[in-house]
Amino acid sequence: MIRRLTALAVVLTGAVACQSGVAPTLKPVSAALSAGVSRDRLIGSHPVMVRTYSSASGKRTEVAGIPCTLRATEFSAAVVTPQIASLPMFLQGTRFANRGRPGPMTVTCKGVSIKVDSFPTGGSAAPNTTSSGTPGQAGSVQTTTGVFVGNSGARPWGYPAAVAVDLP
Amino acid sequence: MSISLPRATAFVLSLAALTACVPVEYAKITTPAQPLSVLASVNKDRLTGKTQEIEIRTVTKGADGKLKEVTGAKCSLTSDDLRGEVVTPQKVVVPTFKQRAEFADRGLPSGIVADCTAGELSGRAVSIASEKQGGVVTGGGVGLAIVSIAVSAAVATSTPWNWQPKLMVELK
Repeated sequence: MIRRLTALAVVLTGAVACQSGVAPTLKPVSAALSAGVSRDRLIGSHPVMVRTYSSASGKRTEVAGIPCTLRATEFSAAVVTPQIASLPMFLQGTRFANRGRPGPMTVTCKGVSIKVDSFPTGGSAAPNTTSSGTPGQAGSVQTTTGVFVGNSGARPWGYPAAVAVDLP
Repeated sequence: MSISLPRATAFVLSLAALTACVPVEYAKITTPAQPLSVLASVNKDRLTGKTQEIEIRTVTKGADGKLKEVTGAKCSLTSDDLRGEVVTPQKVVVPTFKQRAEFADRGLPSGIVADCTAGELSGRAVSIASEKQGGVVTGGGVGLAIVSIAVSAAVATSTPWNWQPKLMVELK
């Protein structure tokens, strides 16, 4: 029960933190494409804000200046929080392997990793913020339900607009 | 003469709105609409038997920051189901697809990707079909595409998938 309440609090705080937080001082960085990724799969890019938080003082507060890496099979980027990473978007279609869906992205900050799934962008059901992480263990963030909604089966793949990583 | 603050504000806002909405002067399309080829792999049961026209245009930002039309750009149009090539501006004829539960993804066709080049400029945009016909789809260069997708209406299995009437590709 306590764990559930804590998780709820983390998600709620994350949603609030998404709207107001430390203003980024660094310019957005563009992700580097991995070798062998066909440009035919790409359709532009989208911004993903990465922020880090600590509850060491007993209250969850945002901490700035934390280096983080974002890695997926298709790309990688490095940010210093809070900073926006401009990530590629991928076309969806049966002519591509796995419908063009890029692999999950692992965001690692000070040894804390969270896994973020890609999802069809642009829909109302699209997740906005992902949160949480456990030191030394990759947390998992579910972003796709697998339920077909509207034209999500054709929209380009991307990632949530904001990623919040909780540091120990 | 004095103008009250709310009126002045409204006037300024109206002017700003007008300035922001100054349309790009588009060239007339004089050639007949060109049909896209339906790939042999497409299950013909998915097609409604009806067609739609999509206007393909290319634009670029001028030195003044305003969009202007680029004519004569070569575009290849690709999807899981359709193929074609056009020189902009050009209307293309595309089939509409049935929306049925028995088809994968309810019969939703994949997006039509337009890859356009004009000299040193290039750009890519994608048009996504939806249950409701909407506005314009605009995409920037490969590095920064803006994908504008009409908000889907409530799923109605009898409603075919419709294409947006315009596909605008921004060249950079």
